[in-house]
Amino acid sequence: MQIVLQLIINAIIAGSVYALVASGLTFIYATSRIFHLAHGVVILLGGYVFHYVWVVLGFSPALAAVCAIVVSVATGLIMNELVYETQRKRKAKRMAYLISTIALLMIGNALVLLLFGSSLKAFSVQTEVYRFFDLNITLMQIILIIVSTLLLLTLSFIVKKTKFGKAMRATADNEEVAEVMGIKTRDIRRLSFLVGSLLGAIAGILIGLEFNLDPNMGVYLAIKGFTAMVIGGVGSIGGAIFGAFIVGLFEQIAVWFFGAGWKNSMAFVLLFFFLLLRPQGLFGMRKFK
Amino acid sequence: MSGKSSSALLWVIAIVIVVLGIVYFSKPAPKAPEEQAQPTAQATIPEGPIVLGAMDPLTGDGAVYGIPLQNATMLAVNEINAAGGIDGHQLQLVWEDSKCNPQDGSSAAQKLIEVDKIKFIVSGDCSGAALAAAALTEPAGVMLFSAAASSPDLSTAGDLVFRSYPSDAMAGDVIASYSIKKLGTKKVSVISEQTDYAQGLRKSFTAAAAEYGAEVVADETFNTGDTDFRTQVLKISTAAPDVLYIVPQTPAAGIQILKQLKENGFKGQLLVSDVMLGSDTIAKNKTLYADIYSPTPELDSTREVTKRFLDNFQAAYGHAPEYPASMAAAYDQIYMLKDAFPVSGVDPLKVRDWLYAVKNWPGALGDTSFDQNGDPIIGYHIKHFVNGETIDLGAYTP
Amino acid sequence: MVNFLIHIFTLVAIYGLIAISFNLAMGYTGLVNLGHVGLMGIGAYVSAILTTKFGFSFFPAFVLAGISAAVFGALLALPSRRIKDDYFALLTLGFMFVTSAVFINWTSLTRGTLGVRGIMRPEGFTDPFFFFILVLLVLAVAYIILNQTVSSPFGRVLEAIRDDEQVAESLGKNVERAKITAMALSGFFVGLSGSLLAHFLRLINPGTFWLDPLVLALAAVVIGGLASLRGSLVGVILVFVISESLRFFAIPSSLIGPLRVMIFMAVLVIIVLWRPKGLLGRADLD
Repeated sequence: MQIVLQLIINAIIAGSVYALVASGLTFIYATSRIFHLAHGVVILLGGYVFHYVWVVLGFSPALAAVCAIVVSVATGLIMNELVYETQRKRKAKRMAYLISTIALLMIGNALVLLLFGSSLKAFSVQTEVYRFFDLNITLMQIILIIVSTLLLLTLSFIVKKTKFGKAMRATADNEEVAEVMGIKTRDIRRLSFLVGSLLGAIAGILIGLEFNLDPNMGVYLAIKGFTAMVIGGVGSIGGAIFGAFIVGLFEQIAVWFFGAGWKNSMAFVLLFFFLLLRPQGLFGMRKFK
Repeated sequence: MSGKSSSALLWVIAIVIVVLGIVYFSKPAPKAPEEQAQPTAQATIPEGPIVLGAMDPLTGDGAVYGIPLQNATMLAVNEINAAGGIDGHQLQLVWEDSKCNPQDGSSAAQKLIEVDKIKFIVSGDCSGAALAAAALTEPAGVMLFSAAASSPDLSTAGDLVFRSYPSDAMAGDVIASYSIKKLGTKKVSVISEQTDYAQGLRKSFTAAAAEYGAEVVADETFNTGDTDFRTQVLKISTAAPDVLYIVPQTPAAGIQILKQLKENGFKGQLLVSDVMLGSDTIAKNKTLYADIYSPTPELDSTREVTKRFLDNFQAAYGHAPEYPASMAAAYDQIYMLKDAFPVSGVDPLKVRDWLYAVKNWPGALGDTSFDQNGDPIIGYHIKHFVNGETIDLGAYTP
Repeated sequence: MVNFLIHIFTLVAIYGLIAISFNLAMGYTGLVNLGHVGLMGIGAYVSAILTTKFGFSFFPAFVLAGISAAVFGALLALPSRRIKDDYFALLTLGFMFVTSAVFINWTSLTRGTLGVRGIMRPEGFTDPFFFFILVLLVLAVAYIILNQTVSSPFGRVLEAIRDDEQVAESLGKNVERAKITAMALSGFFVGLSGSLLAHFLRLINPGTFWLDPLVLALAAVVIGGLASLRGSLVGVILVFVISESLRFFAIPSSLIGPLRVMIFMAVLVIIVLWRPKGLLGRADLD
């Protein structure tokens, strides 16, 4: 029983990171219909810039966080503006977006490797360990869970109550109708990229603090974020959070029962069954064609 | 598809093949390497610099250890050249990126052999690339001298294949023997990264532990790039082993494991493999190195040559070697060739005989001799870390 | 030099096989199968294990490699009725993760990360030049078969499916069967390419079938153009010319790898932006 609880705690820690990634992606996907795998680069840059400004240059962590967010958000917006919007103007089809996002992901990864080197970056932040009934959780992990919960609550408030949220949902629902209603869908897409990249940057910072930074982790994070998003249902923040937790939990279960070698495959096995049985996801806004 | 352009394409391909075939078969057949090198009184080194090939993983997952090993290799080369070279000949290295996979390893080796006409290839690590390269170097009569490609498979990869770092097979025996006989552990466990180096160590460790009568109660792995080891740690501590042997590929992963073990409150004795020996790593994580043993190849920092390697590296690159053991092997490799060339010339067969004949060659890693597979025989030392201080407990033989 | 050229040309021919079979699924049928390299790995491992462990000679193992990859290709096509477009791409990418996990973890058969070693070149083709000719022959036969397939009525069914699946279905075409056939055929040839690569390198490990070859093949197909077999061959040649010629420039070795990836991918983005059809492509990217 105690082991089950510890596994759930581990799943929540991993899940709260995936949730930030997945909810950022769900914003972007809902409005732009782009499988923005290059989001992995945005996350990576968040973590690396944070590490660079704080640990290497020696500025305060707050300034480092601001720099990280600025760089990440700028990267996300530039990718959207330079590549995706150009493609949209040229009436590109889905697969063209897929190819360009894979290419952007690879370019970004290579760039991170060039700028920051191949070695893993560690912050070596060690915080106090709390033990309740033989269950372990550190202060850092509690902070991580609280930060992501607060962010996600704010986000779902924005989606549900604000004008931007309504416009976003209208765009996600039907772009043409939204245009007719006077919503500038292009601006909505920009805003989604902004919000999504912001979440990505914060995810990157938290990952850096709690885990390590590795130049190859962007790919995995983006893929897991998408898996969580699809499981939860596109366009639903609650769905993204739930999906993220499910992915986190099944990974821990995979490690426990089958060994760590199967950890990264587990998300896909899960994805496969969800896509087959419930293609719109658990809390999906609508069916996909 | 227009018929015209496609038939033109076919013609081009056909002509290329015919030309290639003609050139290929008009060359004299490559001589099979002779079994015994002809003994000559005086070896001569041809005019000009001595050019060696070099390959390491310089990009991708393997770059984390490939680039440090490249630095250690270049340190030896620069030292030798600054001191006037080998009998007046400067040493020159042509680098290729093996990317740590068989495909790029074999392309890199083929390029070095064919285009640069190189007779000696030194390579830091990565067994996969080295094994694929060995398939090409051996028939071409080229020596493949690998520092830290530690897979047991490399022992039998060929007659001209050598390495300066002991095979994983030897390490596992020492570690198992030490933890069972000296530390008196009965239940052992291991956590290892999914790379050929770590898996080689894991295999030989678990096999030897079983042989010495201990029980392997937990045998966990993790993927390269993983940072969350909590569930593995939980699984291991539930099995309550007396000792846990940690075999990562990089110090960063190892530190993360130590951190999460500490969070978990793990009580067993800890052992680490030699990638965790870097003095910078230890200095930064003193509290994690509270009480850890590491049985590793000699690397006795009181020896003059070892001290020279460590000091010169610090001076040249501004930090301590990240992987002292395997980097010392890469450094030794170049110095061994430096000693061999004046005696045997730049001739792989004669250098092979020189290496087989050498006894207790004083290297930075330790006194080195070679067995019949071209594997080094180096003594093992036990290092004990107590609150970040390294204590060398001296030599240990199982 | 000659041996090096033969080495590279052999790789070009093997990747040519990967690219044209990739294009059959992606360019002609519209199934973005990012698990293509996983299928290749299956072929390679089947062939390597059969010859090294079970004493098969090359040619039966070669054919079985193709067949086993074809079976998995067909299986991948099954869910494509419900799972489409980006989702299909994500799912097949997942297939590659799963195959890689199997190669790593099924150690009793694959020896995990240590890889399968001691794979022999087929008898009579041990010489690099003859092996190159063998690869070229396989490529030529595959090219002819695929070319016949795509210019046959069946090929037009595939293109109809790519352009609009519902329309194809309403015209009474058996969409399901056509997709499965296309994926099986694509899998068969990429399985053969895996077998050839294994016997060419004589050592394979899980890292041989990871993102690098996928990126290379994807770049080749998109640069060459979708729904053009000839384009794919041109694409492969271009990709290899770019990456191999970088060897001969005096670029610091630590920059070569990332630079190579960046050059490929930048070319890819530019082509997708300005010439969505690629150099010789006939179909749009949908």
